[in-house]
Amino acid sequence: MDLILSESEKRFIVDGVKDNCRVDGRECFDYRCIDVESDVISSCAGSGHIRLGNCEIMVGVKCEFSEPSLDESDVGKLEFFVDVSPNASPLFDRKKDSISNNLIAALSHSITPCIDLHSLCVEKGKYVWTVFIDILVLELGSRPNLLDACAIAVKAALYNTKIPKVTIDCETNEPTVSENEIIRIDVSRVPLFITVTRIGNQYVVDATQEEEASSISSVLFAITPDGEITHMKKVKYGSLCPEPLKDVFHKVKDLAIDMHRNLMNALIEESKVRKSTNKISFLF
Amino acid sequence: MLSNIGCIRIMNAETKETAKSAHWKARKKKVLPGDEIADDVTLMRGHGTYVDSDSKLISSVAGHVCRINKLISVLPLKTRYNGEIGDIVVGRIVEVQSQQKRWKVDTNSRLDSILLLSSVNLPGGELRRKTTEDELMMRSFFAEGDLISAEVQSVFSDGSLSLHTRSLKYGKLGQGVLIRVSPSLIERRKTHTHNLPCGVHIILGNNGFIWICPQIDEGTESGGFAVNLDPVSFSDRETIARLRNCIMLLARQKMMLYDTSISYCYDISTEYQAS
Repeated sequence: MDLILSESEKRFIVDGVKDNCRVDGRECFDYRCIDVESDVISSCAGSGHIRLGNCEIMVGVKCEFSEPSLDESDVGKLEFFVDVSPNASPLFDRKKDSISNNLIAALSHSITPCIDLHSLCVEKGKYVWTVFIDILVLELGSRPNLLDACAIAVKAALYNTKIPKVTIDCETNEPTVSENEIIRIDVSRVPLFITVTRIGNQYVVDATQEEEASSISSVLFAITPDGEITHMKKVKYGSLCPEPLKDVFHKVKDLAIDMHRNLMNALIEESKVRKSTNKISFLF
Repeated sequence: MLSNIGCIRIMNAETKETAKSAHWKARKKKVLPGDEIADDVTLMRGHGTYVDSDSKLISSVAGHVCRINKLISVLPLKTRYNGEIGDIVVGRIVEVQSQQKRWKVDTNSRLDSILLLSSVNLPGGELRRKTTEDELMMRSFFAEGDLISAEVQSVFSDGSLSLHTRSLKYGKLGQGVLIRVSPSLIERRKTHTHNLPCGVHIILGNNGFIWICPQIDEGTESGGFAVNLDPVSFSDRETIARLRNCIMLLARQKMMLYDTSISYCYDISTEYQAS
């Protein structure tokens, strides 16, 4: 069920955003604490787990051999799948399909062009890798930050994806899997999503459920580490004013560059720590 | 191996430690599901317990043991609200039923509570008969989504509550923040509304709903129909945000919430940033 707020509560939130002091003390362009963990599922080629406020998402990456499409015989494929279970939020009971389709569309439109699909080719015209990215929403905090969290988790999962190197015997067509050599996916251009929600005449990132209830519209941006906006979409029905949006562009861009840097630092640091400890799997 | 990439968490372990008062340690015995409570067959078994094959009394929930004479029950840590007469609650109107002359209120209990038109103080005149015009204007008093503070008037046989707001203390709530915690974390006290020294008014509803709002001057309580929509000052807002985060932290650590524990936590938090 959508949250209903009284007029005065909405007023309190809107005024707070105007004062740059939100209900939980954050400023308009502050994210909540983001916890990222990668390589949590041992049976996957790569995986990621994220917690952003109330939102909890798990991503698993699996790779499979497949035949390339006829027109492009040397590129691999990326397939997204989002599982939104009604356990995560009662909202998923009704709008399950539309929410997951929207997520899949946004993620595949923005992430697929940023990955070098040629690196997923095994043998031109015969075999390519299809990378399946399965996103499982364990808990939904609020709708606006769902996509932000998904993108971070996907990037973390792709970062530690290890695809075994496969060589094909030219005569017998028999593939041999190399034990030691692995291919990694280059994630340096994979964008992160930032959703800005319009509350009153101001814009905020990482809106909570209460803030979502008092907002009129939101825009989502996919931004690469260089600060390039690759995807943009408006959600909900409210209108947007072009003038303040320009200002938002700049702020969001800086924020995204920061987030990319922090995420990569965290992932690199984590992969160093992992070598010394021997982790089994999620929650152990 | 969780790595932090975003903003900073407000308080660290130190704060949580110091706020842990001796009171909590002195509380009754805590049990987990499956723990043995007693093996005395003469005891009566209450909620949250069952008897196993060895005629031992076993807990079926996680919580603390409560014993009244021979009746032993376990009060769960995380629960829905079980109302008692005289409790102060904070609730949200979910439905206006003008045919039945009542509002349905979400008070975190298993069933929606009921607020009858006849148990509301209407504007203008302390006690007067409720007319048919009042029935038609019910939505203008309390509409869906409005937050109210009220007292439990009676408990029906199915466990649903009947509320009343027949005092100037109760009524519609204006600008502020609602926090939802487990009702078992609210310490039962004589008063549940406080003006904290940090300049904030707080209502600790027995049902686990906590309302924080800027301080109201004594004597100007309207009985809750006129709502002040003036912007709240920045300093008030910051205090409210800080207090909210304090309460959320205390609740996460399963600390009992009452005026002293909250203001103590607030005082410690002043050295940290509010967000």
